Amino acid sequence: MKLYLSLLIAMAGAIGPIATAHAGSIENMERERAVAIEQMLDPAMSAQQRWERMNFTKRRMADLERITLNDKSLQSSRKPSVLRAFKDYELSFLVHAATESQKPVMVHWLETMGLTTSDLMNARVSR
Amino acid sequence: MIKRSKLCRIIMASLVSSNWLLMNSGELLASNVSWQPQISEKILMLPTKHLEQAIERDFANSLLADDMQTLDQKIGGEISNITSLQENQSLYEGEEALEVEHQIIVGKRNYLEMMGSQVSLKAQQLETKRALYQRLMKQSRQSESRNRDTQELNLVIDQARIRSSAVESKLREELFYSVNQPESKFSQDYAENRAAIEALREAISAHPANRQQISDGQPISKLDELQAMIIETEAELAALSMEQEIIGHMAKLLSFDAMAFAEKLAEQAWQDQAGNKVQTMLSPRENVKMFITF
Repeated sequence: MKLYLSLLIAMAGAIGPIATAHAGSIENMERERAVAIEQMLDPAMSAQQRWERMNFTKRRMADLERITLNDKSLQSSRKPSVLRAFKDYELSFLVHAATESQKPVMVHWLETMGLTTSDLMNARVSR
Repeated sequence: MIKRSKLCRIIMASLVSSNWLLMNSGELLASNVSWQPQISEKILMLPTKHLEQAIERDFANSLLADDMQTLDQKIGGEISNITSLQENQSLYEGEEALEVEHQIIVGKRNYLEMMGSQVSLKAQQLETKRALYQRLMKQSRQSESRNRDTQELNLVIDQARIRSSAVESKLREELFYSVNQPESKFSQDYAENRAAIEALREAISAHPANRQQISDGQPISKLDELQAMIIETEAELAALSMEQEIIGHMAKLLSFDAMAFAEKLAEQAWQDQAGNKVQTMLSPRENVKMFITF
């Protein structure tokens, strides 16, 4: 019975060390997101090029978002940036949030930033 | 020979009548053994029922528990000895009857002495248990304070996980199947692991051992559970204090019995001595005739 109890406690306690495997998951995710936004806003890129690159970036971003969502080490983090990243789900987990809202990643990001299609259509170039 | 035996009994009876021996012997015996719990704070992870069982098992493996058990057996033996003597007391007469009465008093003295020790040991056990609960409560409070700092973060992480899980299959469809792209190894592993984790989480939350106790519709926290355990231990200590009072009264009654027995023996011994019989003094009325006859 004592062995059983010790085993139980040891097993419950063993969950901790395994969970701390991914350090810097948020940083990796944000780096990839910055690349994606750069691609979205790059005026030199053609629509075809953008579509191809975004497809590749989206897959990478989805993987990095999943890694961040399952990173147990973040649960005990006291960094304000971690809390902010999870609070701003719409912008941090861009690919998941875009799928949820059933919109392309670019449209979702622009709308979350406060830029709707009609806003952009009504905008004019001025000095 | 008989006189020496009686003298011995008088001395024994006087010793029995001395409360000092009864009241202090328990404490003297109890100071030699102890229970030092070998339990770490990880025990707080266990449900209340298992926590209590673990503490009881830890105590059962201590020297204190061994001593209490041995003493309990001795007390049981002494009780059957006294009962047997009391049942057969009426069968004896004279010197033998006195001997039986003496043995009953000695037996009662031994019983009270051992019972006093037992109560002291039990008090030691309960005080150690209370101190352990208080230590666990302090650790639980510290842990809760640490958790409070990360509570908000954990809440938003949970919400993010729920939201992401809800769109997972749709996301896979969008990223790989609709564009006819092979699914990445990570994505495949992730989906399988995620399904396994969800199934295990559901099993954990449904497990009977993981069911949280509810009071007035609210789940009882670990701190509340520990507080209830401390109160329970204090109630046991209060009951023990009453048991000590019972032993005190028993001791007093026994001391009166012993005093009466000692007096009875002393009186008998004095009467047995030659020339010590009570002489009736002469009364003048017995010699009235001497004065009225001429």
